[in-house]
Amino acid sequence: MLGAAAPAPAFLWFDARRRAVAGEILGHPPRGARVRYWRAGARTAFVLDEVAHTHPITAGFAVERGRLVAARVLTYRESRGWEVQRPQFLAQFLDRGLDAGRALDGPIDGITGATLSVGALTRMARLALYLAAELDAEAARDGR
Amino acid sequence: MAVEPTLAEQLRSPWPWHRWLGIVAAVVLVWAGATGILLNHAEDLGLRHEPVTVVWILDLFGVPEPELELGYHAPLGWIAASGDRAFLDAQALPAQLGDLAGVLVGEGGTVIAGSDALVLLDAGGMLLELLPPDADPALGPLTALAPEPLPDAPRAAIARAARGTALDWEQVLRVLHGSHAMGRWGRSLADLTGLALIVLSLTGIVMFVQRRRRHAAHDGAGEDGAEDG
Repeated sequence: MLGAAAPAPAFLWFDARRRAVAGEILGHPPRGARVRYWRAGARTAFVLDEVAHTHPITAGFAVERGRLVAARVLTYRESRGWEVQRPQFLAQFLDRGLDAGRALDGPIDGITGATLSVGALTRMARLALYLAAELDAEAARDGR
Repeated sequence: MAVEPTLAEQLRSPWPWHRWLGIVAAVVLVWAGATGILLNHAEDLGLRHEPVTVVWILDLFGVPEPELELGYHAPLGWIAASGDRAFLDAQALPAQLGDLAGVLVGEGGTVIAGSDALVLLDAGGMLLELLPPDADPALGPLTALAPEPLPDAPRAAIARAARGTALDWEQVLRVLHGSHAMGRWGRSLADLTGLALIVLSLTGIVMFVQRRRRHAAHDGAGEDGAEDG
């Protein structure tokens, strides 16, 4: 997602504001006080977990200049809805950004029988875009 | 003087059937309706993953008392596993942990290692991160703890919490809503309720038709009478 050599991870902490926004996106407060990210140039990668029905899906997202440039399901634990791992499905997330309401700015076609998994991946994609925007804003403030 | 209808006449009429079947079926339908509505909104009502801690319900559902022998004595409390779930005192640790493999402590916090994940807690017990089992916790120097026999108080607290996570309120509602709650009798009751609903529908239609005919006859008689006058 970030090229051949993975950079060392860094941490983005959920302060009260970020926690509130992340909670709005996920529909529940984010688990954990911090999230790990990997940054190389303008590209940032996150590995996120979100429960679809009973088990969490672990997925990786890379964001560059406010757009998703990679989306992969790393671990799928649910018994149904495995189709969300297909590259054809995940390709829908590429080049998506956030609109003013922090929803994806383009549609993601659902998969019959995988509604909850599609929902979980969409929430994670939105969260990755939001967190990347926070990091971009931090970098801009710091003049990086 | 009005003549009392005989029992045979009463049974031929749809009215008593409709009335009594309606009353009997209503009891089952109110039960099924109430539990069904609660199930429909289980997530909104917070029942989906809310553990049952009522001992007699756990007994009724046959949830066994967990057997706990060893735990890890971390600065935050005792950490032990029951089945596939680990606990920090009475608090369930994330299910993603998998089988508890070990506990490491350091100034930066506590790492609870599982077969499927690492749980990172800060010095105050707040969850920092959930990581893959081979990830670097990035919490500074860590020391592995050795398992020790669990003292009585934490053993009891963890056992209580562990028993609760084996059953949530949504599962209880599902059983109460379904006919299998009462075994063979429950199935028979569900069959009889279904049958009662069919009979209620049919008697309702018969009564509706009879009433319309009576009204039509009554209206016709009234019109005839008007003509006669």
